[in-house]
Amino acid sequence: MGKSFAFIMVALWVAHGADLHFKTDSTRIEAGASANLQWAAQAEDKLVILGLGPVPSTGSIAVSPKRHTNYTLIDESARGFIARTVEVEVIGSRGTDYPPDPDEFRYPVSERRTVHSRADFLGAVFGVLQNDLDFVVRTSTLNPSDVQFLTNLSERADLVDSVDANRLRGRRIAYMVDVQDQPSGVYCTVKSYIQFRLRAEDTWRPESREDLYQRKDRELLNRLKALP
Amino acid sequence: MSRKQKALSATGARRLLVACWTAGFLASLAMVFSLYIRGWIAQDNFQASLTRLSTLYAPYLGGIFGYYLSNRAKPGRAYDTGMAFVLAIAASAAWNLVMAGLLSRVVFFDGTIEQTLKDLMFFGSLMSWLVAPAIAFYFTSPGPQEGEENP
Repeated sequence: MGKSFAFIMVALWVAHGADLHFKTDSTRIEAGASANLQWAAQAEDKLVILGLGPVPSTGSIAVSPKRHTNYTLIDESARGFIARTVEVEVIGSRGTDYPPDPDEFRYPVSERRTVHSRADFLGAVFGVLQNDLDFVVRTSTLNPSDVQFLTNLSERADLVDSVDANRLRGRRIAYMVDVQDQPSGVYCTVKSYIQFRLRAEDTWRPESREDLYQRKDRELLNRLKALP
Repeated sequence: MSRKQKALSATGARRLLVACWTAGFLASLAMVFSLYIRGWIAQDNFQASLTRLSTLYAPYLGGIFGYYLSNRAKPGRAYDTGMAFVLAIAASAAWNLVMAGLLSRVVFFDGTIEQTLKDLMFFGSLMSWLVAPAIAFYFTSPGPQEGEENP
């Protein structure tokens, strides 16, 4: 009985995913040029493109990103969410600093929460990272029900406390937020990667202060918990 | 000017040149050590700085010390304290001031050690065309020998 149920759920999940199409007509564009994003899903599903907002079940939109951008389409239905990501690379755009290795992210903190709409929640997470915290956000789908947000490394004045002020030129942080769809709700996992720069150096070095990681991870997770 | 006065002044000139280079080198070393002790640079950059200073100073400081020590045992040997000395001391002072000035930008202002190490190499190489001939000219221009009269 249990195996049959699991099989039906997997079959539904696969079938649901197969109905979602998301593509771009140009994966590489010149700066200032446009790429056309096209998608198609079942009419009753709720669709959101992270960073662009809700979209109809079928359609297309022209985008002109300033830098390499990933667009993630979230398709929410009664069965959960399915995500697809396409990349648009902008030729000659100025690079953005991302952590070199995802394994560098440390001290994850997780929280399960129930949400009214998974698609809206993912959109809100994107909004917090991009608009409230002013990061450049890159989204990716690890599997169709697991969306990952990766931010650039961004220098923050609040990361340098009075103890460090005389010794450091600055610190910068990048976040990795993983939102996974589960039957009981969504699991949010926040990890961060912090670098510091000594006062007389240009070189960014990995931070090892665990308290700093945990404080920043907890701060962001609390912020995400407070989302409607 | 008496013979004795001239000999003393030639010795003093050599000492002044040695002092100029020694002071410049020690000042640069002190600045690098102060950056490291205060925690403003990490160990890799500290070692890179010492290596760079050693590379830049060794040919001049080594040569000048070598000449100075080898000629202390020859009291009759004197060096030109005229134009050759003026050129040597001026070039040496300029070179050392530039090196110390570049490093002081990191210690007292907002410079970074990585850029400063590049600048030290650039200016050190550029100015070597000025400094090396001036010092070589000074040490190869003999002054009056014992028993000779100064012009």
